[in-house]
Amino acid sequence: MSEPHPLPINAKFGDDFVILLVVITTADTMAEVAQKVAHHSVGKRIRPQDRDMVEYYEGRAVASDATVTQVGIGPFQHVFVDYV
Amino acid sequence: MKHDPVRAQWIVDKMFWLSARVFAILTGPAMDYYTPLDHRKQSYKEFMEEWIIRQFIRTLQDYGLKKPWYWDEFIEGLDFWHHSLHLGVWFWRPTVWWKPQAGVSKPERKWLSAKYPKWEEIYGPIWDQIIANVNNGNMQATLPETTPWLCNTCYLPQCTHTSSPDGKYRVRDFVLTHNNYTYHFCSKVCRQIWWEDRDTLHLKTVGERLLAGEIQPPDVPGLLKYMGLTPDVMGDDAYGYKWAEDYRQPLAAE
Repeated sequence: MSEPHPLPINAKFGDDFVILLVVITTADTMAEVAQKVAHHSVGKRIRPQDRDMVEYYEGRAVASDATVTQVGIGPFQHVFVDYV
Repeated sequence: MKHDPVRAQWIVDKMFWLSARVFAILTGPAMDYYTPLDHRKQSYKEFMEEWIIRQFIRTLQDYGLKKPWYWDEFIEGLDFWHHSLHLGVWFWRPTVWWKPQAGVSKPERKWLSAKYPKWEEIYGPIWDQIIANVNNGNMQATLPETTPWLCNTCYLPQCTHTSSPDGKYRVRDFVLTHNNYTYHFCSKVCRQIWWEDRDTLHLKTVGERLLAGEIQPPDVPGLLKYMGLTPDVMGDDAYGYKWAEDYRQPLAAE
């Protein structure tokens, strides 16, 4: 299995006003990706809520326990995260 | 127009859009946020409608040109572009060399809501979170830890709200993969412009330079160093966040 490596993605959280550069790794689960994307918006410009998050890739919700490699996310691709 | 009316239309269409995008970040914040409330004679949108749009349409007619294909989207953008760009400049204030005024004191916010009926719905909750952080002393949360993704055509952040069939306004990613490289755009129009002129010079955005390893370290401090912004030059809130005090919750009577 190849070593996990950093992966820059184009990402947005919920109703935040701007799309951001977020660096994840290929070994991250989608739940971990959600946390990394949320880190730059929630509590900064988006009110924190005690709710689960859902991750979207290519317009579809993806399993939170799938890894970035399993989902097939490549560099510079878009991920959208939101509260459920 | 005599020799190549299609080319003439394209050049006017392309340059008007790109000019409007840059105008939104240069003039929008200046009119709707930086100008003291008592001195505001017009909102940015009112100014654009009176001084830019009417004259532009007359000029198009004089030369036999048509309205650009994106006209409705441009008009819709008068309610959003500059508000998002102002918020971006303020939040990423260390990356500018002036002190941006937030422009969201209670009286200013009332003015904004009167001039832009969607302002409170789209931007109110975002500024409320920022204000809460300021009033809780959590200044770190009011500062950026990453960069916005910049559009490959207008080089402005991807922060352009457009309407959806459900009536909600959203910021979307407009993507294009060409020659195995993925480009991102703030709008369908920027993407179309890029595609039509894809053989022209392509400058890397600051984000692309960071990802290509040209900015070290590849983080916000590295970006500030790359831009030559030292602590004495970096922007900060123009009024030392004093405007946020008006939002503090009064203490309960003992």
